[in-house]
Amino acid sequence: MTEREDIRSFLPLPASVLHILVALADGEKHGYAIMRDVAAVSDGAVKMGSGTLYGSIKRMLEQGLIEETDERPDPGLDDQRRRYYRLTQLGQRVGAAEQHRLASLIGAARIRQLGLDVGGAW
Amino acid sequence: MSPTGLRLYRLVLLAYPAEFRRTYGEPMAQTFGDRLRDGDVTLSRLMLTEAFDAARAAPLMRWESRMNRTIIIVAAATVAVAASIAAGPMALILIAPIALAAALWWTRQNQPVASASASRRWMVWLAAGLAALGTGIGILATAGGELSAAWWTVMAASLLAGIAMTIIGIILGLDHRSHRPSAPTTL
Repeated sequence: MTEREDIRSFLPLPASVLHILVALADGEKHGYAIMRDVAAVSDGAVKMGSGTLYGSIKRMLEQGLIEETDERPDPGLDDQRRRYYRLTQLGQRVGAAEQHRLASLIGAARIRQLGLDVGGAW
Repeated sequence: MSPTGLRLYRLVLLAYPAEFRRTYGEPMAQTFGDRLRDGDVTLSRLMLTEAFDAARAAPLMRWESRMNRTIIIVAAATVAVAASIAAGPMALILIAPIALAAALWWTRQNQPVASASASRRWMVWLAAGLAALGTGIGILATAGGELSAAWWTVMAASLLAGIAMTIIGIILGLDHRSHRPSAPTTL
């Protein structure tokens, strides 16, 4: 299997996985920081529970999309028991591939003027 | 965070498989505490949200965990049967107990807290194995070489069962020793 096919085998990503990839795109975060980021980016529309979050984290660790890191943004201020996660190279590539897939889909929706019959309002 | 809130949340965590709780129980409890400390949500509302999330996520995790266990047991049985076909039925006497011990060990790994009965299980296997071996040897010693077909069958079955159960007892006993003293899981 080529690398491209390998990356495509992850797509389409479950919503929770995509949200976590986006949350970790600007650096390592612990579970609660990911949860807050997901809520902020989605304007409060997505509120991830702990089970969904850590269940997704477990699967993403197994798949090699993310990894645990010992680095702390500020070791003096932070609880040492916290677990921090960051994207792996595979995670970044899979995130980029999903972004490309969604962009193509949105492009097709625009070209076909999806929703314009109802005034584009929702 | 109030100790009551945390205690209640640890009850919700029981919905998740033990192996998942062992790894993620503490970070989840910490996240729960962080959310309460932030004050955006009340304890009752957060408990409700988390209970709903557990009801949605935990059954799938439990099913996956059970499937993994089933796959391992089926793989162990396949190895035992394949070995007996390749090396003759006698190989099954050695390989089947090892495969069974591996399956029992796997089951024990997935228990949230090692129960007293589980920790003593190796002794039961060992004692039963030694008793069966003793029975077989006893029959052989008493009758000498003059065994009827029925007694020969009983003697052979006792010795074979004795060997198998003793191997299981030894493997589980070694595993028990290597995990002692294991810190009890609080979740």
